[in-house]
Amino acid sequence: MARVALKQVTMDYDSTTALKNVSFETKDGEFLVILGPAGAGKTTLLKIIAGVLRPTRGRVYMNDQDITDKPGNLRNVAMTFEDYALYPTFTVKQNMDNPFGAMENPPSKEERENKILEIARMLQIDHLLDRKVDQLSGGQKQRVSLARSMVRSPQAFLFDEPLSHVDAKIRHAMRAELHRLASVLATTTIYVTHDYVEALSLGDRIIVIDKGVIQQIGTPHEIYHDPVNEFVAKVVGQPNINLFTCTVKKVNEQIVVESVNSSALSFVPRADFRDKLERYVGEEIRIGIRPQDIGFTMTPNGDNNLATKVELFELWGRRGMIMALLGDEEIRVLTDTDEVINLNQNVWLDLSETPLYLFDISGVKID
Amino acid sequence: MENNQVQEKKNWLSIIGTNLALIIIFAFFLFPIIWMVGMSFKTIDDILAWPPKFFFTPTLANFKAIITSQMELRGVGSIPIDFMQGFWHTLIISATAVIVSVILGVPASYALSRFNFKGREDIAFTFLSFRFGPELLVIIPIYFIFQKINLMDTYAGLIWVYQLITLPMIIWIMRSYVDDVPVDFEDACVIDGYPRWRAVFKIVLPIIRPGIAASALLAFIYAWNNFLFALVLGSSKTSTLTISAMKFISAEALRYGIMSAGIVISFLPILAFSVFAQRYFVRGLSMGAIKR
Amino acid sequence: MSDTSLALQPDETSQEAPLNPIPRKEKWAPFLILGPALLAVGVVMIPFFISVYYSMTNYKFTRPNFNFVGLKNYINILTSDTFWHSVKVTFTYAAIAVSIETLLGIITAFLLNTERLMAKIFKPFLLLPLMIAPLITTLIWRLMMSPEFGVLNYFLSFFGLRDFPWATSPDTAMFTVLLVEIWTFTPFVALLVLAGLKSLPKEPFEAAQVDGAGQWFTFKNVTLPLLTPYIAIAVVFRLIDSLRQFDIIFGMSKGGPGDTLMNFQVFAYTTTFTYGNPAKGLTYIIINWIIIYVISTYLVKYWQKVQSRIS
Repeated sequence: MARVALKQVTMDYDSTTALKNVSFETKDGEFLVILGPAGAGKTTLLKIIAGVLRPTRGRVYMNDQDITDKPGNLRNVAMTFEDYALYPTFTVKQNMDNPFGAMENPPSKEERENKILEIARMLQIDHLLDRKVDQLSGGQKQRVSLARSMVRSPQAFLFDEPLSHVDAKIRHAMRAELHRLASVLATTTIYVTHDYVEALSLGDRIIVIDKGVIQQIGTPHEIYHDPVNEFVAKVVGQPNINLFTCTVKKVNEQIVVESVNSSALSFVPRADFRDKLERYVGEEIRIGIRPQDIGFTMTPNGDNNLATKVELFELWGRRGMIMALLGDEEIRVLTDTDEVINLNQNVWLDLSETPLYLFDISGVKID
Repeated sequence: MENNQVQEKKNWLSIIGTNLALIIIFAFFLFPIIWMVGMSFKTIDDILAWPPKFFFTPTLANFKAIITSQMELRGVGSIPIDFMQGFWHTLIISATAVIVSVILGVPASYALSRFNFKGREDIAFTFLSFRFGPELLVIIPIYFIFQKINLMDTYAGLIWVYQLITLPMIIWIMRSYVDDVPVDFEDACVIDGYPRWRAVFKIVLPIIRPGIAASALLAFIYAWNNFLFALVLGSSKTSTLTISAMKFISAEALRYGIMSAGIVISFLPILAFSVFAQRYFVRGLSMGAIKR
Repeated sequence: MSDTSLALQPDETSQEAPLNPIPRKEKWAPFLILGPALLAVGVVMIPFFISVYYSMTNYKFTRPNFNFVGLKNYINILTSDTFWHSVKVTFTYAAIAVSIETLLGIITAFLLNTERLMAKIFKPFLLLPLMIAPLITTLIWRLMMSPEFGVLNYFLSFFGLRDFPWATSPDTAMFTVLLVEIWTFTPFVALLVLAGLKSLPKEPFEAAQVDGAGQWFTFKNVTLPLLTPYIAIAVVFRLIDSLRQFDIIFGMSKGGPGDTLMNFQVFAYTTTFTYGNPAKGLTYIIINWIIIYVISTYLVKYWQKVQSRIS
C-alpha cells in the first residue's frame, strides 16, 4: 500500500515535451484514473512512476520518500502495458514466473507454483499456463499481463489502457472484473485511459490531462458537474457537450443569453444562473449545455420554447440523438424517446431549466 | 465462349513464356557452377579434351589429391599440393573474425538502437562507411604499419583487419533487429525486478537470436570470400583459399584438375548454407534497410 | 469539499522544478558499450590519415627517405592521361554493370514472383552466383574461357568465334569482366527487388483492378513507384561497389592487357606493389575515395528517406 506523488514533473524530448509541470498525490489504496486523449502523456507518466523513464525535471515520491533516483527494478510497482508486453519466447507460466526470478530471496518452487496457479485461476487463465504467448487472443493476453503483475505484492498497480484493445462487447464485463479485482487487492492503483466511461465508473478520483498538462483533479462527480475548463467539459459525455459563444443581455430587466452566431438561440437561463450572469451583462461568455439536459418536445409547449430544424437523427438504443439547427447554430440534443424523427422536421427545445456550464472567452470556468 | 478461349490462350502463352525465360536465365546463372563441379570430377585428360566432354567417367582423384595434399604424377611419384592449408586458414580467420564481431557488434547495435546520444548517427554512419570505402585506402597504410609492429602475415592481424568487413555488417543488421523489439519488453522486465542489463539478456537476446545467426552467417560468407586483404597483408602463413586458388592459375596445365577440386571445395559449403538461409539474407544484404 | 485543483493553462508560467541531473552511469553507458567496437575500427582512422599523408609525399620503395611534396602528386595525376583513362575505365565499368544488373535483376525478380513451376524450382538457387568469392568466380570463368579447352569457346565456335580473345584483347576485355560482374551481382538486385515485390501491399493493386486498369498501366503507375525504394537501395549498393571493384578485374587480367582494365583500385594496387610507388598509388585511392564518398553520402541520404518509407 502506498501513496504515490509527483512534484512538478516535466518530461522533455528533443522535439516535444510530453509532460509539463505535473504534480499530484494519490491517497493510500486509491483507484486513481488518468484520463486524456492520445498523446496526452499518460504512458510517459506511468513509466516515470515505474522508474523506467527519468523525468527531465521534478521528483517522484512513494510514501513521502523521494524515489526519483531509485532504479525501476527496485520500486516494487507492477505495470501492465497497452500492448501487453508479454515475453514472446516464454509460455504464460514462464511470463508469470518472471518476477520471482529477480527476487533476492525467491519463494520455493512449490510456493511459486501455488501462487501462479492461484492467480491464474482467479483470472480464469489456468488452462493456458503452458501455452506460448503468441497463441493467445487479445483478451487472454490482457489477463496474462494482469496476472503477471499480480504474482508479487506490489505497492502500487499501474495500468496503461488495459481495455483499449479488447473487444467492445467484452470491455464492459472486463471493466466490472477490474473493479472487483481492484477492491479485492485493495492496493493503490493508477489507471490510464482515454475512455471517459471507464474513468467515471472506475475512479475514486480522476486526473484529466491534455498535452502533458493537468487540467483537473477531482472525483467523477466533480469532473462531470464542475469542469474547470472547456476541455474537461468536452472530455466527458457523448455526444459532446454543446459550446456556444454568447452575449449576456438584459431585456426588460430580464437576463437573456443569446448566441453571437444566431439570434435564434436566445433564452432565459434558470434562476440560479441568472444571478451568476448579472456580472457579465454586456459581455461575451462561453456557455456549455449537455445534450441530455435539454428539454425536448415534438410540439411547441409554452413560450420559452425554441424552434429548431432537425439536421441529423440517430437512434441510440432507447434515446435519439439529434443535431438541430437554430438559425446558424448547431445544437446536439439527446432525447428520451425512441420515436423516429424525420429530417427537416421542426422540434422544440426548452432551455429554461437546463444546467449551464459557464466559461470565459478563454475557456476557463466562471464561478 | 470465345473470350474464354482467348484468355486461355493468353494464359498458356504466358505460362510457357515465363517458364522459358526462367530456364534461360537460370541456365546462365547455374551453368558455370555445374560445369565447375563437373570439371572437378574429370581426369586431366578429360579436362583438356577438345571438344569439351559433357559426358565422362567421374573420378575422385582430384579431391583425393587436394585433401591428402599430394598429387600423383604418372610415373614420377607424387608432389605436394599446397591447398588444404588455405582451407584451414580461411576457416579459422573467418570464423574468429565473425565471433569477435558478434561479441563487439551486438552490444554496439543495442547501444545504437536504444540510446539517444549526441553523435549517434555520425558514429553509425562511420560504421556504414567502412562498407563503402575502397579497401586499399586503409589496407595500404596498414601494410606499412603491420610490418612495423610485426602483425604482417599473422592470424591476429588479419582477424583484426577483417573487422572492417564483418563488424559494420553485424552492427547495422542487428541494429534493425533490435529496433524491431519494442522497448516495452525490457521495461516490463525491469519492472518485474531485473536490472536493465539482465532484462536485455533474458528477454531481448532470445528474440534477436535468429537475427544474430543470419547476420553472422552472412558476415562469415563475406569474410570467407575475401581476397584483397589476404593478398596484401597475408603471406605463406595465412594464405586464404582465394590466394591458394589464384596461385593455381600460374601453375602448369597439369594442375587444372586439382584446381577444379580446390575451387569446388572452397565454395560448396557456402552454397549449401545459402540455399537454406536465402530468405534471411535480404535484411543482411541491404544492411538492414529492407526488413523482409 | 474536494481538492479539485485549478486548471493549469499551458501558457501559465508556474515555477518549474530544476533540471534533474543525469547519473554518470547513464551518460557514459552508450559509449562504454560501443567502445570496444569503436576501438576496433576507429583505429582505422589512423591508417586513413597516414594514407592522406603519404599521398602528399614522394615515398617510393626505392626511396625510403621521402620528402613531403604537398599536392604535387595530385596535380600530376589529375593532368595525366593514365588518370583520365582510369576514370573512363572505372565509370564505364560501373555504368554498364549497374544498368544491366538492374534491368536483368528486375526482370528476374518479376519472373520469380509468379506461380510458375520454374519459379518455384529455381528460386532457392538465386543467390548462388553471389555467394561464391568473386575471385573464385573469375577463375571459374577463366577456365571456361581457356583457348585450349574452354567450354565457352566451344559454344562460340558454332558462331565462328572459336578464337574469341576474351580478356587478352583490349577490344573484348571490358566485355569479359562485365560478363563476370553481371553474372555475379545480378542476383543481388533480383533478391532485393523480389523481397520488395513480396512485401508490396495488396490494396493499391486491388483498387487498380476495381478501377479497370490494364496490366501495363498498373505496372507503370502502381508497381514501379511502390518498388522504387527497393530498386534504389540495390542500385546504391551496386554503384558504390562497382566503382571500387578489384577482385574480378585483378583476377581476370591484373588490369591488362596493358592498362585496358586499370580501374582505380587495380591501378592503385599495381602502382603501389608492382611499381613500388605507394605515394602515387595512395593518391589514386584517395581520389577514388572522394568520388565514392560524395556519391555515397548523397545516395545514403536518399536511402534513409527510402528506408523510412518502407518500414
